Amino acid sequence: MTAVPPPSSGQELSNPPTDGVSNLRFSNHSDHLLVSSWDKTVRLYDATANVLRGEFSHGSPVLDCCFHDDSSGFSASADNTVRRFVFNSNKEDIIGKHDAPVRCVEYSYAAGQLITGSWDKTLKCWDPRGANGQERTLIGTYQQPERVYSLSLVGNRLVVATAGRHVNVFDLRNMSQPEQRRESSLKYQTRCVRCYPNGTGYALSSVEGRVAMEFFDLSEASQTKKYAFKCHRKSEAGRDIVYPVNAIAFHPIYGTFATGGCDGYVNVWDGNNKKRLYQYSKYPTSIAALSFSRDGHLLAVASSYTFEEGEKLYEPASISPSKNHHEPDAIFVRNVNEIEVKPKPKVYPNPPA
Amino acid sequence: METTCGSLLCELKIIWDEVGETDKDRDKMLLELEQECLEIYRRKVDQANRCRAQLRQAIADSEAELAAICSAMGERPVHIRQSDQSAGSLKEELSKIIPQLEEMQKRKVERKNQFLEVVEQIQIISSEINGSTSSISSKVVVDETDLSLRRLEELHRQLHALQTEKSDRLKQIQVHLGTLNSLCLVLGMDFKQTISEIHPSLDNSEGCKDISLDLIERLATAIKKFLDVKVQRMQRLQDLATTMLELWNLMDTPIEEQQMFQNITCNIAASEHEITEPDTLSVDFINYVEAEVLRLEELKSSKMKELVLKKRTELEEICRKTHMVIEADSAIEYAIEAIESGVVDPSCVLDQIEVQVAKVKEEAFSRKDILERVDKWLFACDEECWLEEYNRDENRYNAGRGAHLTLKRAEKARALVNKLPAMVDALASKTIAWEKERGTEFTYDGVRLLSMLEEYTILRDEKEQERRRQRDQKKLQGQLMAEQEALYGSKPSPSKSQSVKKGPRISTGGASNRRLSMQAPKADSIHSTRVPATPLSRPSSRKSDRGHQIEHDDGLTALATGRRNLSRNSSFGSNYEPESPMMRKPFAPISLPAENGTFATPMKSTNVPEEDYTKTPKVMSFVPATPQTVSVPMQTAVTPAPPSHQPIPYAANVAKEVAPEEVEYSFEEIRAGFVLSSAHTKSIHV
Repeated sequence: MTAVPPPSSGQELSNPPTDGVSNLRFSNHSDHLLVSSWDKTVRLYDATANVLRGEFSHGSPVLDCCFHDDSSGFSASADNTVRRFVFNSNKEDIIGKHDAPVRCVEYSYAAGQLITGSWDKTLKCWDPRGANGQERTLIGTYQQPERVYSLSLVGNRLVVATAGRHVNVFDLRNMSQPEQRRESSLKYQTRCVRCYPNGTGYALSSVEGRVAMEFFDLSEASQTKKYAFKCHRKSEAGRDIVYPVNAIAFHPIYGTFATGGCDGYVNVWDGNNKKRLYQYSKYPTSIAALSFSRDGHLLAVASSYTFEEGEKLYEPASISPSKNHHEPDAIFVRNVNEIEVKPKPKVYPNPPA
Repeated sequence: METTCGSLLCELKIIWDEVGETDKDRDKMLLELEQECLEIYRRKVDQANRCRAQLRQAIADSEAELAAICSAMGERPVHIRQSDQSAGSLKEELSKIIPQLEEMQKRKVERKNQFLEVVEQIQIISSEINGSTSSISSKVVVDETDLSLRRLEELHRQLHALQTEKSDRLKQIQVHLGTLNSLCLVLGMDFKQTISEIHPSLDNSEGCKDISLDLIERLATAIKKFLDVKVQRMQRLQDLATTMLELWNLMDTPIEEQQMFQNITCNIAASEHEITEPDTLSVDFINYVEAEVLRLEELKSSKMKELVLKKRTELEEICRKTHMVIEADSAIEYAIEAIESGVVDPSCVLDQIEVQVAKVKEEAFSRKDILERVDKWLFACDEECWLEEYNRDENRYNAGRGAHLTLKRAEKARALVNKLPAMVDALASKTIAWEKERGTEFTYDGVRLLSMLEEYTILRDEKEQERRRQRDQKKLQGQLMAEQEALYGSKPSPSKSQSVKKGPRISTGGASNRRLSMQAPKADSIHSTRVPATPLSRPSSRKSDRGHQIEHDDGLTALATGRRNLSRNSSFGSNYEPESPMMRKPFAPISLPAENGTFATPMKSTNVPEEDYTKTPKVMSFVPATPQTVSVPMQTAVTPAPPSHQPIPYAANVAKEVAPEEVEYSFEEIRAGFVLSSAHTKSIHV
């Protein structure tokens, strides 16, 4: 493995977080990139200019972040707090608290609500417009069967993936109980869940190199369309190694999606035609998070050790490629060619290779 | 006086005494004196008397005048003489009356002036209204005897009425002028000239305006005249526009050319008052349009022949499409000749053809349903022919490229052929119904469809008999062979001539042929390089692995099982090829065997050929290090493999280490050192 990734990886952002990246997201309005990290910061980058625009320090590692609008964002912190920060004024305040570290945060433009999921086995909805203080901003607390691991929103639908392979589908307009209670169709721990941009279902990835494609519609016709596929695996010396799939990101225009695994690969898939469209060259270490920009022309890739093998120290591989060291945490922003993400219609019979 | 007279007498006496006048003279002198005195008195009295009479006369005159004025002004006399009561002398009386009289006279003059003013105005206006400018009298005459307020009022009313009439007329003239102006605009005439012709005074805006009825009358007639002209021109223009539209339509004049005359054609149905645009009806404009129509007509006559031919082709096209035969073909041919010689009016011929086209179209519509069925039938017949040929090919099940397509087609063709008799029957009954309804024969390219069907049925029966005969013969042959076998113990192997192989390919038709040729090199490479395929138990396990996919493909599987097995095996075989290790680069994903749970299965197929077995090995051998744009099918599976020996290097191991009580933790939880409290753990999997 080389410390310097091949040029095709995309542009590496300067001033990356100094510890593992927990999530990164592009803004819906610009090419700004919000990055949360275990180094207890949330950073705002201008991805096109490769400039660090702002940095917000927290008391504890930040497990997730999201944009509110282009001038403010939210973070989920391991110190149980949900915070808001305003980029221009460098101000931050605490919106509320969970009883355990907050794992994920999502802002719903449809409902104007902030949704957080925590390891305290609850989901909380917040009204960020309310004045400071939990009693004013909290809309509701909803018990979940297990610790919340991943959230995804599409329209008024909220998909909650928890430990114990539970998947709950909520309607934001009626949070009193899940619209659907499901069990993951994968047999191993859920890593990531992401809704299809067209709102018909969600993709769910597990620690065991697999992604399931699911549909909300419970009719027979829709459910026969669901399937799961294997990815992010490798075979070495007769042994199969299966890697966790940490990240899924849907292309906002074509509905194709990228997955990132602990094998350091990013694959682009066409879910409708069940084809892999592209595989990017290997990144230095695990892919922790992925995000397409609003127009799908950029893909941010967090190449950052995700603790899948326990404690490891950062040390460039060039010194000693020991097992207890990992590659530096880095964020790459790559330009996406249409050919990499555009679905190719199924052809039959096959055209010449 | 007495004294003076007495003294004078005394003096006289003295004088007389001195003179010594006689008494007689003295008496005489005294008498004379006395008489002279009397005369003087009398004269004075007369004079006074006369003066009094004059005074009286003056008073009476004044009173009379006063009375006259009062009566003229319609007022009660201010002064009523009460002769007896008259307090003062005549002079007093007179002096009292005089100022009154003067006052009244002054008022009278004022009143008279008012009258004069009004009357003068009345005269002016009425003369204006009557249009007699000359009759304005230089002197205004006022009847002095009646200067009462009532009369004045009357005159005022009269004046007012006249004024109203005047303004009404002015307004009317204005309206007329407006109408006239718009008419002139539309007709493209000079408005000023027009109105100065009607009346010179109309032209100058400031000058005195004639408002006589006569003028209004003249204006009205002018308007009526112009309106008539307008309607006439409008009709002319609309006629032209209609002609133009017809010509356009006839000659398919390009829109750009039409655009220039859009403003005319848009008025084609407009009524008189809707045409307001300036110059739309001017002589020049109409001439312009007329010229265009003339041009078009000339064009038309030059194009007429062309048009007739065009219509004819249209007719022929329709007939061709509906497989009808044009009946009056020769008539049209004749008509064209006639046009060329100028005997017949081309438009007449055109009409004739148009009528024919309409007729044919109508008939075509009624034929549509049957024609569609005929097409289906003909297609089915084609397929039947092909199928027969195909069935004759002994090598048709051979593993050629694209054979699955041929198989598919054969399958379809068989289904179609089975339906053929029913199709023919339905078609025949439909046709009979049509013929009954219309009372004519349904012809298809000039041939009666029913006879075509009949012919086909006969042919089919013959073929059926032929086939039966062949089958019997075959059976006979089989028996013969069996007998021979019994005799000689050997069975003649069914001969497979390679030369037949090419046969069916040719008969498969264009599309599938192309596909075959496209695939040829690939398949050949498989065939040439592959190690003889040994059927493995793999396909069955693969089948379950592939989950949903295989289900979707089932139909196809049923269709082309034999062919498919071959190609599948071939792709497996390729995995054992010498170059296969190169294909499986270190990161190349592999599929996990699902059923037996051992990941070290010797059989490792790349994730490529799962869905598309027609793909060549070359496609599979992608090297992940160099990104490819070749799309690769996913490795889908219904359920993940059972967990027992599953190589999950991190999650499972870590879970064992950190959570001996079987609580699973995510990487983040482990890193954050998050441990569920006992209260929490209990609620797991609630």
